Amino acid sequence: MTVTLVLTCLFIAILGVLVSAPLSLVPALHVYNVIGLLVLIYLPLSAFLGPMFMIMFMFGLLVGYAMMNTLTSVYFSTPDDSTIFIVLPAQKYLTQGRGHEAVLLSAIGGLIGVFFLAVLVPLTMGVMGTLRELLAPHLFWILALITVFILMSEWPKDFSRGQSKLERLAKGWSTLIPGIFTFFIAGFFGFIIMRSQVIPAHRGFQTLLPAFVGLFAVPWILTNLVSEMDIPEQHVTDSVDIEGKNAARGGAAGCLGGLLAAFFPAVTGGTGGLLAGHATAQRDERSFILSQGASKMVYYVGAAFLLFIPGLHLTRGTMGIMVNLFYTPQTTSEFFLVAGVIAICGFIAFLLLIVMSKFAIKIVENIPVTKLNIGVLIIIHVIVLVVTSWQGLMIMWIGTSIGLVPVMFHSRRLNCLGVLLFPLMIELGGHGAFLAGLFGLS
Amino acid sequence: MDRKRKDGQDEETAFDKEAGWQSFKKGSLGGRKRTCPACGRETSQELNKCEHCTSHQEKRWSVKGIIAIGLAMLLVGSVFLSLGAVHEEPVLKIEDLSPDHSFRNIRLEGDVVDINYWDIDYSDYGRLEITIYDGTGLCSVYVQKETLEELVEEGKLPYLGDSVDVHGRFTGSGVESTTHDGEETVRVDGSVTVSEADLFDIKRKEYESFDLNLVSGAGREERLDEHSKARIRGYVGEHRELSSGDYLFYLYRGTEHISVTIPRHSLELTGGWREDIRGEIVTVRGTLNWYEPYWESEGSWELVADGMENIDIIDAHLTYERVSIDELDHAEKEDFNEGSRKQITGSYEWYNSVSAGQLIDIHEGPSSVTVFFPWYAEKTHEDLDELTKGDIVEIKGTLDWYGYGEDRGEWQIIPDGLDSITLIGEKEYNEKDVSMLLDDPEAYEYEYVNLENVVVSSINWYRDDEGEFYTRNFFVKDGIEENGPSLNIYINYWEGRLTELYENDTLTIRGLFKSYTYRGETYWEVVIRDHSRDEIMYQEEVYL
Repeated sequence: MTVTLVLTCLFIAILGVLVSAPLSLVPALHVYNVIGLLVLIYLPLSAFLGPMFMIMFMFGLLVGYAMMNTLTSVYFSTPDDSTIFIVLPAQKYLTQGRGHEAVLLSAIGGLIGVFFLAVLVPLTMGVMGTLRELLAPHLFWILALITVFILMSEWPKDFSRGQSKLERLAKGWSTLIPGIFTFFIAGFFGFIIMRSQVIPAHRGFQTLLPAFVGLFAVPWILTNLVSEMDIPEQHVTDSVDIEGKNAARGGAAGCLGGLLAAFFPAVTGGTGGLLAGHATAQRDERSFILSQGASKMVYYVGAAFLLFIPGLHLTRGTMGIMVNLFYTPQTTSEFFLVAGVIAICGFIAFLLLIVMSKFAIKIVENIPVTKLNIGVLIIIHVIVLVVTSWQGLMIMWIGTSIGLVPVMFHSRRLNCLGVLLFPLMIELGGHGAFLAGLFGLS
Repeated sequence: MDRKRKDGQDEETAFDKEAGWQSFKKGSLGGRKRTCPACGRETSQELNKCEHCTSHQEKRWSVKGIIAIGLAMLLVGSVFLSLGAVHEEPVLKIEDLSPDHSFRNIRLEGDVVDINYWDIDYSDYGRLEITIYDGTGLCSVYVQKETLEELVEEGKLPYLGDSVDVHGRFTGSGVESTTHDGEETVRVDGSVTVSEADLFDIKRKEYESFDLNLVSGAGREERLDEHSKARIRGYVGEHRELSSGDYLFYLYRGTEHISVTIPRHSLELTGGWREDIRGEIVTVRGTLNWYEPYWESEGSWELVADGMENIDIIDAHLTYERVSIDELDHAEKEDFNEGSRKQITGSYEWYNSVSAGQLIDIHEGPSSVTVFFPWYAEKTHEDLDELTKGDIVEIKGTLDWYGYGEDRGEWQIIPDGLDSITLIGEKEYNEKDVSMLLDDPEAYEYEYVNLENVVVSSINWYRDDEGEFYTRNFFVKDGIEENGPSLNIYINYWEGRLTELYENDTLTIRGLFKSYTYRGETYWEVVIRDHSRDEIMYQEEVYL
């Protein structure tokens, strides 16, 4: 690999980061949707443009997005599957005028994630190969355990307010049952859209976009609209309230969670972070936001990075799958190149995030909250319509109705991730055809 | 946050009360204030946490500090990029490959010792399998169609004897014993699949010039190394497609030849057999290979061409030395160098087809030189058919000593390609009469003669198997009243026989005046030949 090629790759990757900055401010627009479209454009042009250039641009986009997608979650309350957990603490920060600080906390986590990916992941190359071989036959029940954990770790609310034991029991289950219902209804929903061709075939790779937007983003917007939440003036701080030990704990938990998510199919960055947070007894709010930043960085970028690790070449995450459509990494040089690009682009994305956060503050300060939320809702609809046509809108609305269940019954929104976990668990267990038959999908 | 203090209060609630009480106690309502770095609102300077947002006021990480630490990522990234630029994959030895390497990407270096090109299901899908030898063992390397097309575009199509550096995914279960070039070695039970053209490097070796005669006659252990790169010049003879899809042609120099194989993969991937090399002198670059067919007790060296692109026609730069036919006819072996290129001019007089090819004689007066068209020159016969005896031709070719005894032999010329014969004119028939010819026959020997108004004096009649009378041999004299000598007229080919001829017929005859010997006596005759402008005319009516 020549120095010129390396520098060209770096330049293209930085270009990707720059492009990702404005894209990260568009609610509901997921980087995977952009990458999917890019690959569609690239495939016919592959004879003229080297695959490494395309891959570098995609990595730039991905690193930039993984760092900056916090913005929409913090300022516009439009999370995706990996930022769903940030919204609640971030809204608290936002109402205190500390939205920028929440963004910075997440960004510090992102930086730790980049460091983890670039420096520590390479050291675990050998272990990962062995781990993959060990775990591959057991993914079904591991996912089942994760599901059980998600369902069982939801703590009953209001159970102490009842007069009798029976009443307390009923009140306790009044939030748990909707939670379990949400998980399975989202699961069946995911199973149906994955098994059937609801979205037009030529847009098939965007199937999950409307589902995620409907489950996670739209309910938040609707809640904000109903609650008429007021966003105070935001303070652009030049320091962050975090201590070393909290940062270390949050970063470690986030990286571990992100790695789990990158490694296991259907486990997203948010879930991975949550699991790791539980595992490391994480309770501090600041650590939590930081860990989510680290987790999504490791999840998004790490999943694609696994494909480049010599001896592992694991295809995980949408980007990994997309890259594998037209390229199979083979050399250690490519691994070094990607690791270097991740490190440099990660830092550049961090700097960009500070700028973009200030820009986002201007938006939320100058546009009334209600108008902002309506505007975001319109943007979401336009994107879903353009990318997935009217069928996508239908899926999004169904997803929204499911996503509103936990909002209305005060159960955990995390259960919406059943949309991914359940169908994949069923398929890995070899029961997909049977269930599809029951639904008349076969 | 559900954390409880020892006094049972919720920590957050307790904190808010405490912060408020402390601020009141210390007179914060009217005391010193500072701006909370987190929320930007005024809060008491005495408090560690903001009374509004509860954020810590001190021990905060500055953004500049974080950026400074983040700069380390640039350093880390630069180190990795540098590694990417300078890193070279370690080259493994084939003998060290084991099942542990399976499904890993490995790098091997070695010489190509075998090539197979596979079509699958007769579709246009194909792949190349090369076997490489690195001194420790043999391993198959597969190159899939798409990569193969890229290799062709980049001029990296491998040929026998090339050194290659490959990087690809290995699948295999280890090595097993085998032999290569008569030596014990190992062969990998598996293969490496290369899926990127960038991961396939080729190092072409220098070609060494070899004399075709040296290669043709050499034994296996003699002077030549198998799979060494060679450049050999010769004349392209007959060719054919082999059942394997390879093309075979023979490369000649004089009567010596070697076989040249063009591998199928190069033909299919780079454009196929080129007709334009047929009958041309070419330089072929390729790899020497010892070919030992099972039906022959001994093998021979063949040249496996590095594709059609490594066959160059050379016809413009050869120089020929002009030599007279008389000089050649009388020259001894030591007078000329065998293989030297000569140019002669003379009249085409005689043709004969022999098992080894075709022979023609080119004359210059009584002297002649045999020109030998080897049998491999497929088009020669047709070309010679277009020649008419008496045509004056110029021939460029290579001198060849055709020996037929201890100290006997003669120089002959083997033309260098089909365009080595150039027609430059026709030999004229000279007006003569019978008495003039027979008065001093030696002076006119081999002269083309035109005998006007000669009279048939006698006829030798013969009868064929079907009982029909004919003649190919009669005598003529100058006039019906003359008592002068008679000259034998001989039609030397069967189709020219005459069935209607009478004594005293007046004829005009064109033919070759020459002598012949019968029972030790020398006689003279005019020969009427086929493939010539010789003819017998009777009062404007043409017999032949």
